[in-house]
Amino acid sequence: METLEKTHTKTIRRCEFSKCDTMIATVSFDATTCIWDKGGQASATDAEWDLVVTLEGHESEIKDVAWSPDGELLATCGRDKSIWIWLKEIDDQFECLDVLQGHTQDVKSLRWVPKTRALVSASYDNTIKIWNECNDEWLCTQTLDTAYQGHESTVWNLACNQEGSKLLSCDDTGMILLWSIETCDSSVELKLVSRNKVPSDFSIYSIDWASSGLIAIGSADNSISLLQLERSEGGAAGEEADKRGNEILKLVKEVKQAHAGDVNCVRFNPKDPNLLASAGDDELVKLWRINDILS
Amino acid sequence: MAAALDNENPLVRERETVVRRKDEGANRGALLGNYLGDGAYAATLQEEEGSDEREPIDSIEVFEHIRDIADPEHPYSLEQLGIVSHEDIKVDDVKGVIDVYFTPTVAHCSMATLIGLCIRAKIMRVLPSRFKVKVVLSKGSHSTEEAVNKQLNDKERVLAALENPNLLQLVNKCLAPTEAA
Repeated sequence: METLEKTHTKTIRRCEFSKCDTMIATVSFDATTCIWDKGGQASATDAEWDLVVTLEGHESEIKDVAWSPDGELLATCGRDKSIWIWLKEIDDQFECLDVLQGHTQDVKSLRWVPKTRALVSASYDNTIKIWNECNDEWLCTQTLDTAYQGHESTVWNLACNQEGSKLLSCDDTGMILLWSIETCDSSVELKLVSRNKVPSDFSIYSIDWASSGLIAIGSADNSISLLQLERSEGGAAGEEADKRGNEILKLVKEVKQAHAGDVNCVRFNPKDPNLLASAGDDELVKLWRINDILS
Repeated sequence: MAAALDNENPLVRERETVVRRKDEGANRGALLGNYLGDGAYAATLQEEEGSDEREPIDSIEVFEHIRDIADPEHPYSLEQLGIVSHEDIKVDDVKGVIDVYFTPTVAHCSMATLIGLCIRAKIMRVLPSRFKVKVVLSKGSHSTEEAVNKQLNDKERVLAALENPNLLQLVNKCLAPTEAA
């Protein structure tokens, strides 16, 4: 085990491994993003992580970071309402390609749509925005607000399924919306499939979607829940609803008091969907075997 | 400075003597006896001797922690200005829930967010982390009630605010009177 320390000066809000697992990006309330490198020895478990570069640009707290599916791009977002797109260059340097403005409040979360260069962002302004790329510029092509039957409170987190055909968004009042991801003229568009409410009214801070299809959420009521998609009986009929699957979320299992405090993050192991990691306000990181939770 | 005050002549109340009724923790001792005539609070609540059982936390205990928080602009406490009162604190010890409702002296009070932040910071520092805390404006007490409430109950924003040296200094200044022995 290694501790990456003495670099960020304030809370580290999120971190993410690069697609080839040789780098980690960490983002902090100190307005910087740090890129850590495993020294090219991707397979060596005892390799040391070195700080490669510190990315500056955001004015204030950075709240999320995401590597693009092709591994070339990094997106960061935060309190200054902006999203920054960084291009990884050959010598481990990063160039800022674009700064996306559009949200009216802090941007809480970011996700790249699998297999594309389209980005989805979620905000304290209660909206979700879709950003499509054209010649290294990202344009907001869709804003999902209440007019789209979107969220009515802060949207905390987003998750795509592995195929990149569906997206989930969770909010401050325990709502989870399911969206279908549709591609039209190589531009990504979201359409609402269903609005789902978990039993508790607490914030859902984190959501993740395993390659197995299972969905995990972490909540401010200290619980972790496992969910899955289910075709709903009845509901909106017609060709359009049929095409989108008419699916809803079904609770599979709830682990009450998974942490002795808010559950801030849940993430499946990308290679082993039977493993789930969670982080809580009790200052613990817990590893869960899905089989054990379900049995 | 004086010209910039949101409310130049706030109504100032006497420091209240709060008595815990028999049905709300009779064993906590006569709280009244802990108050001296001039309003100084002499002793904190004593745990009952020899008892291992945890005393439940109630609205009076929460009130005791926040009543002496200094107002950011006036030389009075939040209690003296009528911003907090023990009736406006709801506590469910079993469920682990604390709801604090506060009422600024005027509906356009620009300090509402800072006052709420102080209340939240104080509760975070002194009460067990198992409590889910909500700090909100009393209904209809502020012109931007919804926005202030949203900000005060977004824990990411609250924590970030408390990492901001300037804000933290302001908060600590307001909390100083509550930390006196």
